[in-house]
Amino acid sequence: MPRIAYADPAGLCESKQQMLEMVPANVMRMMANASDAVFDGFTAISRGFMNADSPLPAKLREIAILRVGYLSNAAYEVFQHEALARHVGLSDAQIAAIKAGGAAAAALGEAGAAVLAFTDDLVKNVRAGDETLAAVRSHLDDTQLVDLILVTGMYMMVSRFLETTGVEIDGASIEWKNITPAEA
Amino acid sequence: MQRIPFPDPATLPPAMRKIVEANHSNVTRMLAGASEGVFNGFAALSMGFMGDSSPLPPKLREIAILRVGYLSNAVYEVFQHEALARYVGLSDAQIAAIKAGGAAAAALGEAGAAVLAFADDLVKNVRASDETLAGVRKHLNDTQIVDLILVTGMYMMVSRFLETTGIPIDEAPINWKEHTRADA
Repeated sequence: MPRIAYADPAGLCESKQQMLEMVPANVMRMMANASDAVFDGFTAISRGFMNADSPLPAKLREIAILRVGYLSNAAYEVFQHEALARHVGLSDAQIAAIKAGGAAAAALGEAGAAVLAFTDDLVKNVRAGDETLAAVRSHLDDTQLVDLILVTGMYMMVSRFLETTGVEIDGASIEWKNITPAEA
Repeated sequence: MQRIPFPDPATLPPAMRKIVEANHSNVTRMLAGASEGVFNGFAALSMGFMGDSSPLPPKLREIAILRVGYLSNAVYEVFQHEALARYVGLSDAQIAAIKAGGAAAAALGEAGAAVLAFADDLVKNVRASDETLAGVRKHLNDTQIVDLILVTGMYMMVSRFLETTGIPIDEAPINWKEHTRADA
């Protein structure tokens, strides 16, 4: 049982009802408890990261998101984003490397390993070090970099929301292919 | 020290350029480095928390935001939100209590102290404990609690963005009365 009750679908505004139809997952049922404008803002920024025209390559985005999930012990986030990581083309060995971190990150390629180290640094230290920042800058332009910082922070928010409200794992993952492209 | 350059306004999509020209703060200038969908989503989520429709009392919201700023050593966030905290009616003594934490939180009243303890727990432990969750539930309904969790996480994101890009402090804080209300 979750710690906070899922929102009652009967009383919801139209945009919440539409999102729940599109993404009938427990995360959305819980997110529907947020006030209407916060809910709409959350879906807007999520779409910004997941859209086809987002400049951040999908694999690098999912490396950061999954790493936040593992560091946060956020079981629901990990459940959903392991499925999305596979959808965007990360292998099971690469997903294991994201979980293990450290030297295992070599399996993610140079850019992927740089993103993993940068994510660790952001989560733990707030201000990433000169070295980890320089490493991601050798692969990403400034727009991609700002999006990467924001998506990492966004999933720290999502992890706290999921774990503190106690969102339960769904029977099956979200149908990611209906929501976001496999390639950047 | 600024580590990432502000984007050149001339290169921005027209809608983003308009927002940057209307908001001269360095945080807006740097956020314009994000991709357009992310920038717009960020603005929508911020307005969700700051807008008139948010059910979370502004003083409680600012207690959580400032506490995240202090815990994160996010000087720009603290600079802007100390001004906003005063605008929504928190006293200098209460702002000092938010910074000090612990027993000093008594100056924030029972609800304010519960929010401070909950924000600490969320930041440090991801999943807030039964005790701190019960503390805020005595004062807030489920919509307010979900908004509180999300705004706490949002400012963890903002702190990382501000500190890692190295946004310089503005000469004066944002004119908050143009953007958000003082009373619940």
